Amino acid sequence: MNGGNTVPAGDRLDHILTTAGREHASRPAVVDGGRTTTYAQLAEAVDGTARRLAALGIRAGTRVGLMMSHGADATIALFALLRLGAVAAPLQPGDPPARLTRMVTGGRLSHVLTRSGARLALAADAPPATRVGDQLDCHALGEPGPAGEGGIVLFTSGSTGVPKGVLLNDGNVLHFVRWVAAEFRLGPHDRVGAQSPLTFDLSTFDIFATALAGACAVQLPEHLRGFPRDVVAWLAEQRITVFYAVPTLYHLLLNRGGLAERPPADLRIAAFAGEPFAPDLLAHYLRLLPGAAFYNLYGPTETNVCTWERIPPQWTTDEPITIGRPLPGMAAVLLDEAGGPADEGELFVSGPSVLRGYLEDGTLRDPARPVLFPDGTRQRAYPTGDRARRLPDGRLLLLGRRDGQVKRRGIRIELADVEAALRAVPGVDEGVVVQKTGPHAGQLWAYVRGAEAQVVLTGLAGVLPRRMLPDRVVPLDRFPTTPHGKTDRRALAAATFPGGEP
Amino acid sequence: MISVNDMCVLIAGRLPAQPGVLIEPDTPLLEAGLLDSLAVMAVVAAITEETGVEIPESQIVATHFRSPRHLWELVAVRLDPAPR
Repeated sequence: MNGGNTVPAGDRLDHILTTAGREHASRPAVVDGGRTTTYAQLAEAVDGTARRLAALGIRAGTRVGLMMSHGADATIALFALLRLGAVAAPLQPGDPPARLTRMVTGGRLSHVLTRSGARLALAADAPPATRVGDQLDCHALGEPGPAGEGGIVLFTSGSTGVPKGVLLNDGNVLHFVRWVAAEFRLGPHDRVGAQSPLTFDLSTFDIFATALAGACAVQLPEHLRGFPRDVVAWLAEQRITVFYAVPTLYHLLLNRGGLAERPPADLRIAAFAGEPFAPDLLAHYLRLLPGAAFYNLYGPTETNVCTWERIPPQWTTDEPITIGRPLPGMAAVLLDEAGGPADEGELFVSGPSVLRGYLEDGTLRDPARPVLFPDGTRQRAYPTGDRARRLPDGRLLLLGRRDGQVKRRGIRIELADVEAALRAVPGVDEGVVVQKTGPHAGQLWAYVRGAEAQVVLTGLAGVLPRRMLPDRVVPLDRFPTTPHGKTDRRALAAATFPGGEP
Repeated sequence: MISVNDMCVLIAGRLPAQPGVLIEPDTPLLEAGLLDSLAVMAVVAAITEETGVEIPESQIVATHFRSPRHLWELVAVRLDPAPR
């Protein structure tokens, strides 16, 4: 440890809170609406909740859904599950029941925690809930599985139409958390603007890095999320010093939130991840906030953050925005088509933050594989699917994907996941989803044969989360094809007329 | 002229699928978590399309979206600026 963080944290995430409860007892841990919870109060609430959950049969390895976006109660529930060594699987409230059901069954979750009184919207009839303290309900869906390793499961879009459950254990998460708290010199006086839903890996920063430093997690009120102007006011009024978000949000704050007229004066760290930052907007931010350090943190959910770069204050749009270099302890190698190390190729990542595996039908599948690194060692490495180039100075530059995974508003979506839902809509004979280039760049458009746009959109809304719905559905009589007779996805992505005609 | 009930219908058509939720003039859209960020953009666009009123960026704030009635008042003033 360096950078002034002397908290010995052990190898468990919940120990972070035990330590903070002792060393920062009277400091504010979480501000949520009008309610401030100190570290002593947070630690006590977690102890109480953990005891109650244990009495309901939750123990090491029990897989428990956590259907709460973010905030004080969600933080308490998450730490309580980790305290028991359980597997916490955040679920997004409001996702369609069919999708949630796939996560619950695919992950073999035996319990789901919700806010007290919240309806558990699953496809099947939910059993009656048991009240856990004042704030939580526990819905038991089945018998807990055999005792096992604990951690956090983050569900992401999967290319087979079934959400992928990425299992990270405590050590995976701690590796990033310890590094970032030190690199950002987080301390008890920092006010971290916590806005990431628990379902996204950015939340590991808001929750665990904040607690490791004894800093305060100021929760963005959920109802302000859709209003960039309110978020800009909140950043200033709450005197946020550290903020970690997807570039889409940073872009909105500048383009629609009026951030240039009201820059957050106390902000000293602005970190981003998940997608490229628009270069002109990044340049604007650097001019607006000369006192803030901007960090690009890169990594798929499967590795959490694995490479990083601090944007030089004098950076200009003439220079690329790279993903920098691996975190200490992590290693990155680029493999060419033949599988040999190269200066350009698919990015493979090894090190302590690489996931334990995907939870599939209750068992763990490891997508990582042994890879020969240039130093002659063979290491367990995760294939990111991202293509990258190594610059002469060693920094890595992302070039794109080698598969059908896209990012929209910072959220990872497998086109095949949306297409699976599209083809299941009654009447649809053929369906292709592309990410548009040109004037609608970034949008997802679905091209279909056999059904009307509104029927398709309604059908999709019943099975896919909002964040995965196409921006537009375009009926076609026939699809453009390549000379080899395959559907010409590139032509559809570039088509300016809804019919794909020239 | 758009009525407050028209506004309810307009909003209801832009919300994430929420079976069984009735949108009335005083339904607390934000407290109930009904209006996500995509829905806000969709509602603003639909208001312009159906009434011709462009809501300025500075007015797209949570306080105007608390309920259909709050949003309707914002739009009605712009449709008919004369005092009534």
